[in-house]
Amino acid sequence: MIQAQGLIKRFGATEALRGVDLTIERGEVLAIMGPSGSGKSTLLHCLAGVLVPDSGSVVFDGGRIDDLSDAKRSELRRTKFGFVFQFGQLIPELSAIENAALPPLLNGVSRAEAESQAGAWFGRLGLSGLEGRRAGELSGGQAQRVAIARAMVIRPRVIFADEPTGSLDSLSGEQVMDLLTASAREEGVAVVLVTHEPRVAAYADREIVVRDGRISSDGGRYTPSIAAAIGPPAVLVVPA
Amino acid sequence: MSVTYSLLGLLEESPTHGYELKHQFDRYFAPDHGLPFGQVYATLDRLEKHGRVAVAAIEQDEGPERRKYAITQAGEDALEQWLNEPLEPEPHLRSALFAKVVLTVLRGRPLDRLLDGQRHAHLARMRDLTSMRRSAALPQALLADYAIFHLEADLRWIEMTGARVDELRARIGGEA
Repeated sequence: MIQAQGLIKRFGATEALRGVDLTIERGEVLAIMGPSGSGKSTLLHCLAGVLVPDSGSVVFDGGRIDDLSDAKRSELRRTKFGFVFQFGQLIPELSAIENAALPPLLNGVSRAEAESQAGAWFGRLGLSGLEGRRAGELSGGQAQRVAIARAMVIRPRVIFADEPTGSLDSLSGEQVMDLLTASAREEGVAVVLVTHEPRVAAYADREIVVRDGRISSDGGRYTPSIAAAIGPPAVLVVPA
Repeated sequence: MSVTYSLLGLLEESPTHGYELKHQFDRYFAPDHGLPFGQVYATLDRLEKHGRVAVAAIEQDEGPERRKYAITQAGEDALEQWLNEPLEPEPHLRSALFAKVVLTVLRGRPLDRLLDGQRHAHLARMRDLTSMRRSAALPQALLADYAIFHLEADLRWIEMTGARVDELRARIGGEA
């Protein structure tokens, strides 16, 4: 569904991406791993049409997006892509439901309809009752779930998530990842996930590692093992 | 050690037969490979010898006699002490992975392939555990979490090692 070829991206004299080829399948959950400064966020931004590569191409659903005008790329991001960032990045003056309803509202849907669409996601994400809360009155985990609702509400084809659990404790992080990947799988939405946390990458179907602006490792698609059907290992017990 | 105290801990709830005790143990601590009956009875015998459990009742229907074991005050005290004592922190430095990494660097072989392969294998196992945990009962979910965090610690070490490979080669290679 997304094919990137020969992506090169420079910031001044720094080459952040040095020739990346990557294909993302429909409905795939892909984790992009790698050390800080390796280029993983730059790669995500190029795939999502936020940044334009200096050379190479990004094709989404058969059409190039790297040579679209700013307005066209912006429209594509508003209608086909959802975004979840490390710190929910909700608008503090708006209520939770108003935040989640923003994308359809910007796409010309009426306020009532946009909030009704967002409200359906509040139910699915365990946020019922929090609709009227301001962003600052939400916990970190709740804010990220509102961000997931905001990303899902337009029924995107791809969700781009950059360190979505980076600011959360372990348990809230697990809940956010459970909800994000379960909702995406139910809706057939692909997820491109930047993370340096292996526990978060374990929610993906495939992991790639970016190092020095190149893909240094592609783990290939995961097939559940027989062990997954049996149960967890007995790790607590050392025979007496 | 932990089998002994786990059985004591299970007996603290109520006096129980060895057979039932084995099943409780398997359910909480070893869902994928159960504790052998022989080990349960040998452990109970030893605990009885040390005065930490006592036979509360002997029942006999048609088959062999069935002993119901109960924890004693000495057993309660020993369990309490064990639960309150921190475990010896044991870094697993002698693991096969560590040996492989050192040997790979010493021999001048490519380390990336080893680390990438291991990362992939670890992540595959973490995915198994992550998907399993979604539908698991709480004790199994806790067990899966425990394994996931340990695998994650390995992976963090793998990433750190990958980042330090040049330094490692210079140091280990220099000593060789």
